[in-house]
Amino acid sequence: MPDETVIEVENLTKRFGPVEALRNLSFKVPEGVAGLIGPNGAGKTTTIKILTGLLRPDKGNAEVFGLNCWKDSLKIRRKIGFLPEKTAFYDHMTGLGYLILISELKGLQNSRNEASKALSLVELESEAQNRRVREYSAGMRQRLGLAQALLGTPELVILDEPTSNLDPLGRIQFLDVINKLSKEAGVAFLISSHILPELEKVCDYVVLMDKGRALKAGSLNQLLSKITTSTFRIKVQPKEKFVELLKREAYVRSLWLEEDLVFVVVGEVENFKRRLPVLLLEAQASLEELEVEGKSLESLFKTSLGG
Amino acid sequence: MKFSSLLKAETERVWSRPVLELTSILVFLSSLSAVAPLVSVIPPDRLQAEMFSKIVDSITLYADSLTLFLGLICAVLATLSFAKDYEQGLLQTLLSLPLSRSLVFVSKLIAVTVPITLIAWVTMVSESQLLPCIRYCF
Repeated sequence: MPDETVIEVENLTKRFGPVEALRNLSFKVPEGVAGLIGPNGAGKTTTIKILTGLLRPDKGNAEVFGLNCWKDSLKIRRKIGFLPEKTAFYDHMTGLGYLILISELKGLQNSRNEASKALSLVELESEAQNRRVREYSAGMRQRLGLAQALLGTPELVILDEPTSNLDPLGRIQFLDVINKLSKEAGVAFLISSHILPELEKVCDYVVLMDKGRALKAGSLNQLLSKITTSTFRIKVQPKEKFVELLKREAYVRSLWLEEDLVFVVVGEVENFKRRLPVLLLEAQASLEELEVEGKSLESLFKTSLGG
Repeated sequence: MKFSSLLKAETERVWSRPVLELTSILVFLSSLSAVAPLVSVIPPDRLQAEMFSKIVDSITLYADSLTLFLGLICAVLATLSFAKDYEQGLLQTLLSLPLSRSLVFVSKLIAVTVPITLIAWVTMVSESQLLPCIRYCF
């Protein structure tokens, strides 16, 4: 893993009236592909807006490539590509025309070539030539947004929910593009997404945020190896009394329900295994399914946030 | 280069809506309703010229208020240009590019105000110069 820091955030605080969106947020992101994850309202988009110079922090410092995100925002914006959460374009233009315009605004030398290259990266070149953007489907608009972020092969690409409107094939292609650009062209990525299994496929580094703070930050392998708990997926009938009894057990770190299933994060697996038959008996419940979940970004997310 | 590209895109977008056409139709229809009735006996050979003259008079009257119409449209378009872009996210995209905030603001403002000022000026000139000429010809 390369150790050059691309993004450094220190004690960042941002308020929107009474709401404190960021509370002394601190983390560092090295080169490679980094994932910014967290539940809704964690402060991911606010962090991204500060990094791109769209918002001024109330307190603290944010740097990209050693440049201050507010004071040197123009210099930073020359080095980055950005896909916002809400994609909007000049709808009266064709996709190609729009990308040529953005290339010119980015100050790229050969606008038409750069635009065509970006369109071919997201496999939109045939459809985008003559169709106006207002006629595009949601998926095509998302691809156009990605092409716009990748224009001119920037040093850092920041993507806010990049795969939300893509179909499964589009998502696979998108992950391939990220892998290719990261490995072959050395482009760094910061991706905010709720689709954790996909993020896990491309990320080297993860920042987990909640309530405006960074709960965890580190390389994905490191974070996964630190998980000392195990998550069990249990299906029992009836489950109400069983859940009540399980909640009282000391080794249970967190517990949540999803439809018919009970998810339980336990600290001491042996204790849990020994106590499970006793609890089932006490609750007069029958066990229908029991599975242990592997270590993944999803399990990291769930254990860190308690489901 | 950046400014002219952005200005072109903004102008095209704002004026791709049929704003001017709708305004012109509105003014023309309003002016027709205000054509003064013929109250004197007019010889048949002068009837056409007399009617045309009255239509021109009422258009002239309404053309004065066109400046107000255009001013209102200008305000609505400028508000839409900023508010809609802010709401939909285009402003965020533009501001994440290596462009200064003032450049984005000025190009948006010019794209709305300059064409409308030109139209108002042309309207005023044609009202004061062209319409009397037409009237004279008839």
